[in-house]
Amino acid sequence: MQKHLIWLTFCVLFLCFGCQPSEITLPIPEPKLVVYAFWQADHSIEVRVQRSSGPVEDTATDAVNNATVVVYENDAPVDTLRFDENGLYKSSFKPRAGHAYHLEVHAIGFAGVVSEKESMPERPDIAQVLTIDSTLEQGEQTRRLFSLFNIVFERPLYDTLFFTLNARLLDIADARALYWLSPGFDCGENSSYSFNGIYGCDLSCWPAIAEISFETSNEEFDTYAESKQGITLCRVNEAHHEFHESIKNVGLVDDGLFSSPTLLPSNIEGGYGLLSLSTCTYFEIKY
Amino acid sequence: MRYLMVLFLITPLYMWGQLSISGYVTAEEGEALIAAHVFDTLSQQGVLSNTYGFFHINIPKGEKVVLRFSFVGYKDTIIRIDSPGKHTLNAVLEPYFLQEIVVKANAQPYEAAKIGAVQLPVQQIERMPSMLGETDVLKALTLLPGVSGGTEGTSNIFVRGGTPDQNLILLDDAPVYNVNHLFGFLSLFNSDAIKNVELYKSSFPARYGGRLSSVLKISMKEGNRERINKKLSIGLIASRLMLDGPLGKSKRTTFLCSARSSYLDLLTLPQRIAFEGSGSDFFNYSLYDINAKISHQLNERHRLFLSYYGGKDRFTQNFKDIAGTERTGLKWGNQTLTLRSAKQLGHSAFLNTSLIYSRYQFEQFSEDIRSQPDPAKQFYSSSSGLRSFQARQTLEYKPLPAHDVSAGFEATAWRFTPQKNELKASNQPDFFFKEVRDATSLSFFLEDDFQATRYLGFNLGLRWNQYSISGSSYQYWEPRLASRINLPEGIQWKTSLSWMHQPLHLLTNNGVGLPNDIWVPATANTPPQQSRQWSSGLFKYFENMGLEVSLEYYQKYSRNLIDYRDGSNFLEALDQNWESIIERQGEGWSEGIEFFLHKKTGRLNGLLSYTLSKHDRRFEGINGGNKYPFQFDRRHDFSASLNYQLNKAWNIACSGIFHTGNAITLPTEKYPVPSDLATYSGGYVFTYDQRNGYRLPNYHRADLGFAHTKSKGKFGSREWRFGVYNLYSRENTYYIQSENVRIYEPGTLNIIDWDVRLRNRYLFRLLPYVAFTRSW
Repeated sequence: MQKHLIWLTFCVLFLCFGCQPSEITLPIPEPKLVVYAFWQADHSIEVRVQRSSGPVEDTATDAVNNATVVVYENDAPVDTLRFDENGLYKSSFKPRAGHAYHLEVHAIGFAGVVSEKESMPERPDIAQVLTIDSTLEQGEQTRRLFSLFNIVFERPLYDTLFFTLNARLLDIADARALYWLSPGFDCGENSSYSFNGIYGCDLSCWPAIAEISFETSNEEFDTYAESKQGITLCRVNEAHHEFHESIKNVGLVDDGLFSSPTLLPSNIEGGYGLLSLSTCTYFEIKY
Repeated sequence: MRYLMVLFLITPLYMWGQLSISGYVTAEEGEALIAAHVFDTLSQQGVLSNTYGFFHINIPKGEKVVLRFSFVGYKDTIIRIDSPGKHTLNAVLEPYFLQEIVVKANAQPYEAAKIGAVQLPVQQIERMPSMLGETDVLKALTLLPGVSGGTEGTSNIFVRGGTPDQNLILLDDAPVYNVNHLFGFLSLFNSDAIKNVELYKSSFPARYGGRLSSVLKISMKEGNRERINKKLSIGLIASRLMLDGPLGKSKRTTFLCSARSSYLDLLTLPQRIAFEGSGSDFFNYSLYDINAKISHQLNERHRLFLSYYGGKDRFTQNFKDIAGTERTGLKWGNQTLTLRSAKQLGHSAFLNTSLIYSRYQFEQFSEDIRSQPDPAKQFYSSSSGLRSFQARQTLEYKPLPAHDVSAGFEATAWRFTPQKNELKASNQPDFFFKEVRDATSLSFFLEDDFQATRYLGFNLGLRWNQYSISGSSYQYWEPRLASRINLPEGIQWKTSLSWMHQPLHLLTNNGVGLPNDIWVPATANTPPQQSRQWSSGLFKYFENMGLEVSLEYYQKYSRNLIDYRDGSNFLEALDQNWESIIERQGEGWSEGIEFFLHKKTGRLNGLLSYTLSKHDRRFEGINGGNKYPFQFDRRHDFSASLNYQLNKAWNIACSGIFHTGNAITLPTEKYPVPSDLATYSGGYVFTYDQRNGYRLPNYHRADLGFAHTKSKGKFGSREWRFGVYNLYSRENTYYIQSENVRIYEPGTLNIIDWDVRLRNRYLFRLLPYVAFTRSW
């Protein structure tokens, strides 16, 4: 009897637990609106509206084409954007430095989203750009070796300060981007990123900035005599900085579903995406 | 120390007119019995023997005693002394033979006498069914309440929500920094060489420190004093050979040597031979370890011990094509060396002095030799490790009948090598980078275990530590408080409160048992981990059944924990400064109720445990600064193991395990990012509701094992062990994989779409084993 009982127990356990489905299902969430708006002061604006999906759903990157996108300036609606054939919502409205903006997006089948109110930063007017460089004779040509850019502003900049800097050699066919810039100073817990040739830094711990220096640490910066350097310096809103600062971590460990979890900050309430505001100054250095 | 001096001074006065007995408790073959119970049946007082089998008992105003010496697996020995004064006696216990197995009565169990410690007899561990027939001490410990294993098959243990680095694992007093063989499927502890396993989950005596969660003390056998023993064990993946016995005719010196080696490399030998010729790829795995110990008795009161452990694993993958050969691999290993002196001072004091060396190192390497198009050679090696040197001295003293005092110091020097990278290539200059950090620690401790009244006992201790590294220094006090109250019906109520610090951190992945453990020191920026734990529980020993039952509640708070920063993992740690990729100032909360039922003796013996627990973590930079479940937070954890001696030859054992699935992090949604930002992220990013917000399916498994023993005959004693791991073939999740699945047009083979599915991947279904052991 005891023997039979053992075998019976074994069989019951085997039947109960031995052959279980080995698939895991994740709940499919309600899709949310994904809104990207990269606006620059004094330039017409455009907004991309897309949707989120479940983590194992087929990737949905198509634009949502039935949305209503309204832009607000200082809490007053100023324009409703129109959808064009490129999948973007566009307007000829040009935001201005010093004003506050937000946008509202509604679409059938989705909960409406609204961005946080963001201020368009003041322009970082550049008085002059000084470089520390040396020359090196190479055959018939003279190489110019840069070690430091020093950007002096026309007047000191106050309040929260987030910058992006892009510098390019203008007279070389492929207009190589200049990577690996590092600011000449820091103030502790500031953060930075370098992305697609754009260097971003957080100098918000400084109460006011009269000038800003960038050390060069790459031979890409070196050029030949009589070259031209084009510098685009932008002040950006904090959300722009945090978004770009975080996205570099997403890229570091891209194992799909099993990546180390990295959250991208968003200033779109109820959805995902970014309202980025920037005010830029372009400066050309001629030799 | 002042307290200790006062005790020393008053001792002679107090000793007058009392009965004082000290000596050693050993087995017949001379092996010291650790934690043997020495009990005076007249005064109802008892003590436990120490690591060297030494005991000392004082009976105030006593004129005679009837001492009963008891130890699991051995017959009780009773010795009567009728005259007061000091006596020295050595008790030699006889082991039980099978036909004499009876339930022992009246022997108060070890746990009842000592606060906080759990002992699992090695004989019981050896009977448990095991994966591939390899007896594993650490896996057996996961059957205890509050002790969890990691992912399936691995040897790391997680005690009360702690991480493996928070366990102080001592092999003959030497700390062991990595316990994994064979990617964790085997632990490095060879059961043949082990005499005793003792685990503290709380109520840590002040003599132990430097870790937050547990102290696991493993003692190696000393060797038979009477004759040379040989033991050969052959298993499916490894074989073991052990020799022990006396050295010389005086029998004052004994030795033990046990070696273990896998033969996975033999299985791949044909591929290796082919590879040397015209073959293509092959992989190779080898592991070995050696336990050795020599003990020498200088005189009746003084013994010396020299213990050594050395083990190594090596895994290589070899590729060959027309252009050349490539070899990549991993190797890791531990070494420990302990020199100990155990000296009895006078009648009632015992001095233990140890010099300890321990080393752990792992290396990943690759070698690429190209003959085409241009001859080139490249060698890359990346390694990490640490070494520690330690001196420790402990004085055990019994100044008064009710007091057991221990005091001592511990000095440790560490050399951490978190990163050592080397690149040699034929067409570029050599690259070499090595980061070395030295740290030291000095600790003093004092503890007193005393029985205040017949109903109330305490273990009070204090430990002071100073830890220094590169100009920064930490000093901390660690009070240890424990009490035991004897309630009616033989129930004991034990409560403890402990403060612990840990100046070491471990960067690791807690999943598979990869050897990529990177030990790093606490620094000025990364302070030592701290914990505070209290526990309280009821314990009862049923004398007539030899059964111990306990119910215990605990709460633990830890801080200054570290973890990888979002977007970082252990593979990157070798390329960056480790302090730049970690989150600091982490907090941990653990809480649980543990039920334990343990029967150590009798034909039917075993254990049953259940733990209800909750373990959370919080880091400022993880999960938005909110609390999240620890990876091995298991709400329910149930284990049972039974062993039944059918007759003289046959033994049957079975075990069952159930626990809540491990917590994992899976995304809840994904959404697109602008194409110019999607360089690395593949066009979309995932969002997460919570770190470790999902649960793997519950884990459960049953194992069954049989042992057939043929007693000593012409060929010595032989034992066959066979059984099944995962009896009912449960597909327990080892990891999850996403798969692209074709979707066909109905009725045709035309693919109309693809779908992504998540699949469970399991490691083992039904896994039989067989092992053979011969002892002679």
